[in-house]
Amino acid sequence: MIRYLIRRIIWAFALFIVVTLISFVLFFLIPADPAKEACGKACTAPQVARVAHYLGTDRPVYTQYGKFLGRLAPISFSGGFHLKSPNLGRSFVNRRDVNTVVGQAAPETASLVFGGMVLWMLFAIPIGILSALRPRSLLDRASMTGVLIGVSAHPVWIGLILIYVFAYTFHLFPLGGYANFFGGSLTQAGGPIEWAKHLVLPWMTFAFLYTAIYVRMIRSNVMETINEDYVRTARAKGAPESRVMRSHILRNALLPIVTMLGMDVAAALGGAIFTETVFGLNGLGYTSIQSLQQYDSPTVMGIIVFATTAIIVMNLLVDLLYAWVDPRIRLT
Amino acid sequence: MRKRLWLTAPLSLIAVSALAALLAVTASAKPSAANAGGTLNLASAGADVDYSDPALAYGVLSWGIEYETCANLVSYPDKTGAAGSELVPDAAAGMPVISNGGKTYTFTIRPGIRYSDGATLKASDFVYAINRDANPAMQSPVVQFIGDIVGLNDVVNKKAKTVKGVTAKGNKLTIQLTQPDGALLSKLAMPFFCAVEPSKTPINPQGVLTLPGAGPYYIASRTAGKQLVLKKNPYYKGNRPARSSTIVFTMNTNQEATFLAIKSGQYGLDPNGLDDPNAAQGLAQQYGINKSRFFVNSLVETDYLALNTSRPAYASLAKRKAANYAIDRPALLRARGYLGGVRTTTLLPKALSGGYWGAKIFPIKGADPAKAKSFDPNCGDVTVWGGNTTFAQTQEGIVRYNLSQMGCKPTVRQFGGFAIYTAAGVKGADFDMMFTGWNQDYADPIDFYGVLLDGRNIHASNNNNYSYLNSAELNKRIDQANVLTGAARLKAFGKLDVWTATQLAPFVAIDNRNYRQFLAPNVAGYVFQPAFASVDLGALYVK
Amino acid sequence: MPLLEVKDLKTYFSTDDGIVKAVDGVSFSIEKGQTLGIVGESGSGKSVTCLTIMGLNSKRNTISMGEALFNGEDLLTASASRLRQIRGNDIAMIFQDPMTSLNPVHSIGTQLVEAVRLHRDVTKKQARARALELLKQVGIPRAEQRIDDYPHQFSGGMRQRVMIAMALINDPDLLIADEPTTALDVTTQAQILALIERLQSDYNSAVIMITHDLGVVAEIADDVVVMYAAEVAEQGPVERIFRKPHHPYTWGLMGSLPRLDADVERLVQIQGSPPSLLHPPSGCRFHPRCPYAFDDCPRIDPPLVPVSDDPGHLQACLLDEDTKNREAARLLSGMMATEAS
Repeated sequence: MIRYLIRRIIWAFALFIVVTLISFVLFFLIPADPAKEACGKACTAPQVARVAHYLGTDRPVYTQYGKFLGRLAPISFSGGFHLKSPNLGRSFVNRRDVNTVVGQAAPETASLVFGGMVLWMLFAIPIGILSALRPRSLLDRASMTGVLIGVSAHPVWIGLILIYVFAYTFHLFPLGGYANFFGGSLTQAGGPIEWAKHLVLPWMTFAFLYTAIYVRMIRSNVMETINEDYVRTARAKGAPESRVMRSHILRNALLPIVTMLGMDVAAALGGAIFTETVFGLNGLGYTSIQSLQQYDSPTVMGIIVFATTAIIVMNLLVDLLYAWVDPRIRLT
Repeated sequence: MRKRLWLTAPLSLIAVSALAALLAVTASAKPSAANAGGTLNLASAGADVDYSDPALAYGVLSWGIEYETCANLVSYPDKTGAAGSELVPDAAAGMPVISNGGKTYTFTIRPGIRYSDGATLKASDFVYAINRDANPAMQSPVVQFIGDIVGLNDVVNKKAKTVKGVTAKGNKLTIQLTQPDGALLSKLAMPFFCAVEPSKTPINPQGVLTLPGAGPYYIASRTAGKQLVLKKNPYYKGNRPARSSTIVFTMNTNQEATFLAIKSGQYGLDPNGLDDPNAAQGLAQQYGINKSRFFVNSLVETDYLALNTSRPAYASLAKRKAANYAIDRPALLRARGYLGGVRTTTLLPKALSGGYWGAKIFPIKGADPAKAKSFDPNCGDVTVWGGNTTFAQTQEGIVRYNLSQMGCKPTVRQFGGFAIYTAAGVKGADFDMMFTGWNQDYADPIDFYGVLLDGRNIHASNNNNYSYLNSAELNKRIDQANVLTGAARLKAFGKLDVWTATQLAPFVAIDNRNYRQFLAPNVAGYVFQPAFASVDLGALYVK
Repeated sequence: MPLLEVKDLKTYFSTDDGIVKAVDGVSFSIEKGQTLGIVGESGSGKSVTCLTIMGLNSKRNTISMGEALFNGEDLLTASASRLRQIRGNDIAMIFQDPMTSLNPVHSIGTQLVEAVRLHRDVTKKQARARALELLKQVGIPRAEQRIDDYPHQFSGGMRQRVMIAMALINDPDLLIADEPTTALDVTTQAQILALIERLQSDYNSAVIMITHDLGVVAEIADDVVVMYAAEVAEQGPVERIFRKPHHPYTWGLMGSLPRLDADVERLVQIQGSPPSLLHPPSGCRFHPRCPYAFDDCPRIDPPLVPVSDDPGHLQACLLDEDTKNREAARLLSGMMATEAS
């Protein structure tokens, strides 16, 4: 177990270096000069050069990457060995601390993703099970049609329809934006109710696609598991159907879902770009797209670092969880 | 079979009841109705201000806000059209006394101006502001504009601590220049020269988020990326409008949702303007133009094709004239949608041309390939650089067609974002024609001619003179016009503009863009401030 | 009263392609402590017969007819809850593949305890003690340590022992073993059969042994039912059938018994493969594969009738008595001969 964890952490570290290095080099290869943009459009060459020096973009890519890693490392050797908090640097465009930017964007994305996940699982599990129990019934056909629509429809389209109907026409929900779970002010909505109110439509949009995918997955897993020999064994023991379903079918049928869920959630934490854009949520996806358009590499790198870490951590958690629920898995 | 529902039933029940509960909660809350009581809600779709610190803010959206919160030495009135482009004294009691052959400007500060925190505005606050701008730690973009102030570059280059040429004595402020600059007053109207309270605006490269303002409003709060709130300056005694007591900007909203929200009156307007050209025609039909809810104003901006005079394709005047005849200006403008702008053949926008705007030097009603061919019968390869958006591709298609009509063999290269400016700014870049445009930073023709066509500014990289034109004659004429002031200055530049288009033709001017705006039904008082290319926020109010 | 009496049992499945008659008129009975062998190729309906008795067929597309009287109570018409009381308590079942018949995510202890507590109102601790007792009886070494292990940590033979322990944990009157040794290697097969025999005598349970292997039947069964294509081809006490098999299909099964000397040519071999139950052959269902088939076979569906000199021995073949006697004798002498050589 310990060896497994150590190996995983070494791998995670290697993965982290590869991902950030590739992103860094890609930024370097883009011909756009962030110094020119930061300086101003009427800047002359010497003025741009001064800004480039200020931003550090005049140095070779390996120096820039080294500085990036140095800022990120939780330890420092300058002025004696000491611990420090990792620093993602400052935006080229508005000089905000990227730590702050990510710290502000991450809760919005997390609220969207985890809330959406709860919503889509609340729908997908019952629908998936019922469809599996009664294949080709009316419910099954309806849910399969829903699945088809769900996987085909674009989140922007769904989002706009939800906004038009529920926010614009019936005023049930706000047209977009985010409210902090804690607090709020005279001019800014806040508190759990406002938070949920702002997120219902994004959750629905976000959950739409995944409900579809998970209904299909749960349905086929349950249908497969129902025919397993050990399910017959359970019935032969005289177990009631409820017990057979809960303890024997679902435990096994939902195992692969855990992995999928971990992967999907981790990927979405990197940014649910479309949903965030439609609902004006300044989450990681929206922020990364906006920063990318402005060639704001520190901000984009910050989000990449966060997303990579989130994916690595989620994968590790899923593996540990999986080993816990499935005795066949041994972490070696 | 029924018993199998044991798990599914409660789960779906949870899902449905959770949704129902939320619906119940939200249904009981009334939709945020029109904001009575003087709060104006605005939405900025897909954008936030870059900075709220006047030393750093450098964008149309942020300048619109700085205009409301700043006291500058001189500024522009809250009026639209020509009246709004005329400099007037603001914090200064009157226009400055100019001496020493145009190199010394002396301002007298109007007494009794107070910041929103009650502090009195002093002449030294302007000294502090300029020193703060020049401070290398601040890295303010202002340094591109004011290199002519005595000692400013020494501070920028860390050779001095304070700008020697800016001094205050009592209520007198003196600015000394190394050489006369007819555009200095226009430059001083930029928010970089906003008076700031030294104790509230420390040297910090990240800038301050909020600060006391000496204008009709001040920035009361800001959550970067999300919200900015303007409040009325309680100590403001001037005559500028401040109709709403609070103006709340919600940043980074969604485009489509914002349009719906303005339509229904939840937001007053989007200060970035109407970004949906497809909606313009319908709105114009429904509400008329500049009447109730749909407004169109001309921006001090020019879209043009730079012709690279350093390469054979456009080395000769005849070939450049040919291009001016070949390009279909109305077709290019149509790509901007209904009321997207006005066609032009010269570089300077109307407000800066001293009455010379509208000279029909080249055809503006369409292409004339025959005439083009007569100027350049042997057109060869032409490399055209442009953007990669759908809009840019439409325009590139038109230019490609126009050039082939006159016998050229055009190739188009597309760039994403602002990468094109970095690439084309390198001297010797291998393009012949490039899509570009320029909007003013300060309302003066030198901001066009000095930046875009003064050949003496050409460096190895980061050039703005994408024509790579270095004409001694033109440079001389620019210098001659640049020493003038007032109406004579504009007139001289207007004349120069016509002369350049006719005698040098280093560009194919296409259009001056329009600013289109859509208002909520419950909002009135719309005034477009042309110098700041922005809606006059203080004039707006909720009915 | 027999422990279980099955009368004219029919099980039909409705499928997309039509009705599949998986069991088509099977009758047999079994007494307490007795062992009944049901023999046939895969798809002959022997497993379905038992699943029908247990009520374990999918209800949605299954039609069952006839009677299955367990202590006089008809299992086919019993309510679902009554069936649950009987299953695992009065009638227990062991399945063919021990690798897949245990739930991989629960420890075997949990699964055994579940089996006890489904039918007995006992504490977990008591149930666990009972589970441990059974594990020891079926010969799981170090049962105390292994009770919390998961199925994948056991070998196939050990898993089948666990399955047997689980089946016997509530002292069932009837144990149905559906090919319990097929998936196991030869040595383990013998051990498992011996175990079932021993436990049967210990618990005095009746056993229905489903197998395709006549050798197994010969070893442990008292009575035997030979099934072919959903019908009974021959049935009766095991020694009589082995002494004088009447059906060419039985001959074929006996001829298929494993020989140690593979050089010897098989006396009788069954050609072809079992027929589709969707469209079974006319007349005698075995006729397309029967080397003795004659004109009547495709036309007449032979009834299951007692052998003339042996009323407990039933058979369904149209061949005349002389041929049957001759061929049976030849088969048995041949087997003897090969065994002697």
